[in-house]
Amino acid sequence: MQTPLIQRVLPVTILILGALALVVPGRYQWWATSLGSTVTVLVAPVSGPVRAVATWLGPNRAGSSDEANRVFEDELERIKSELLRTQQENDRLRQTIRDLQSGLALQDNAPVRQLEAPVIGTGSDPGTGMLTVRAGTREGVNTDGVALAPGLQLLGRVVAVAERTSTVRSITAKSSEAITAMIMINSEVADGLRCTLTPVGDGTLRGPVSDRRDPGTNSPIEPVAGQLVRLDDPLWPRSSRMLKLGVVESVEPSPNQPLRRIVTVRPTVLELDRLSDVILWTPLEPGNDKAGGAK
Amino acid sequence: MRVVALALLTWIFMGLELGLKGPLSLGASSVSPSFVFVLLTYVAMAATPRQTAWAALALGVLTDLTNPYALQDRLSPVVVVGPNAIAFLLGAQLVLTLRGVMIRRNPFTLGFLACTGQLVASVTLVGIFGVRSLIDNQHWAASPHLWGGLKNALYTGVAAVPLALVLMPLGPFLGLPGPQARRFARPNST
Repeated sequence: MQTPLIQRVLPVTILILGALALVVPGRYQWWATSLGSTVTVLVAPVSGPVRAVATWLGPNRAGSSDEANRVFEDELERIKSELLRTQQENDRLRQTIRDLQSGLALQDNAPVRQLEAPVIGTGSDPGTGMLTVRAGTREGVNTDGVALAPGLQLLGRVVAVAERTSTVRSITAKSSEAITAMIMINSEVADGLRCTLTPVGDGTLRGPVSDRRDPGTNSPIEPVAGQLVRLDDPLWPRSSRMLKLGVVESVEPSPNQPLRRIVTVRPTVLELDRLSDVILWTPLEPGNDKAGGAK
Repeated sequence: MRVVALALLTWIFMGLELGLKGPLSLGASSVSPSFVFVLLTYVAMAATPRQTAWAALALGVLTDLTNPYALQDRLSPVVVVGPNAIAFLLGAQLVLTLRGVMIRRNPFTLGFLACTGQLVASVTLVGIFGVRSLIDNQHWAASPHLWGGLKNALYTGVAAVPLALVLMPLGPFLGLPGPQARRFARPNST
């Protein structure tokens, strides 16, 4: 026989949960984040292997031909993005030196730590594009980091870090903010057409391209399908600039401004949310890399 | 009902939920099955209403905790406790109402009940987040989420049929009456 007090526990619990669900703003439920991280770690022994097996069996196998090729391609892409970033940084520094004409301490390219980490979970609504990765502050991950897919394809940004896990928001998630990018008209130099890309929700990014004209002929420089698109957003960590966002899939005239173009960009790795492992790229000196950091 | 056995199954099904959501989602869409809701449906098919309510709240809270949401004015996601718990509770109530007119031994029963229960839970969730959009700075449009919820419910129903073949023999392990237990069974002659 249950006492009246025990009988009241269930309705009181429902009331409390109803109040938390309907009335209490998300920012006041900060305590739940660490609980969520603990739950994710506890179920990781099941979710990690299950995800790895499902990804291995599924059609979206990462890697092109074999492991050695993949390593080589990754290294090539890393050097390429580093070169472009260095060129861009040199231009910026030259401009800064010209502007300041003083001995101000200028930042070099911040060194980064690379860490391969397994994905142990996706949010219950995959549309939010949140991936939980088994690496946290213990491994030196912080919110200045970014996550990369094989081939150094930018996967997303580290938006929250717990002791053992971190949360990555995919660039293609509809909840992600717009990204400033550069369509590379020349693969050797950090020069191209700037565009602002917004996630569509179907795994692509779409947005208008800035108007730019050829100085010789004064004709507009048009983006072309197949051109590589790289991140060039001042709000992202500096170490992530010039990382690969994808390739131009289609170009169409803007409905409001017929002379402007709208591009659709698709990441080079299909279905970023289904990866079983990611590479976390964390700057070694977080303070130097701060751009549009987490609030 | 054995709480330890349910906790063990919850651990496995939460792992399946987190691990398989991405790989099993259809194309680039966010349509995917809910393994946790299938487990809840199975519990609701056989447990007492009070046990079902507690199971719904516990599984709902666990789903809430592992499902961060993005707010427009915050880069880091937030975890909101309660929406899935209340949604699961209402979904489980529908299963409790319908179970009396169902053939529990049939694996398709679990599929049908999981589908309808998940549908109710999805509609509830959309309603809750509609209200929450007034207090949280969150981009929220009801129509796509309702459509998504309908597709999720259908997918969950389909996934529940093979899972029924695994769950149904586990009734005695969970301390739940198995499908062979009959209310007016013949007394044992031995």
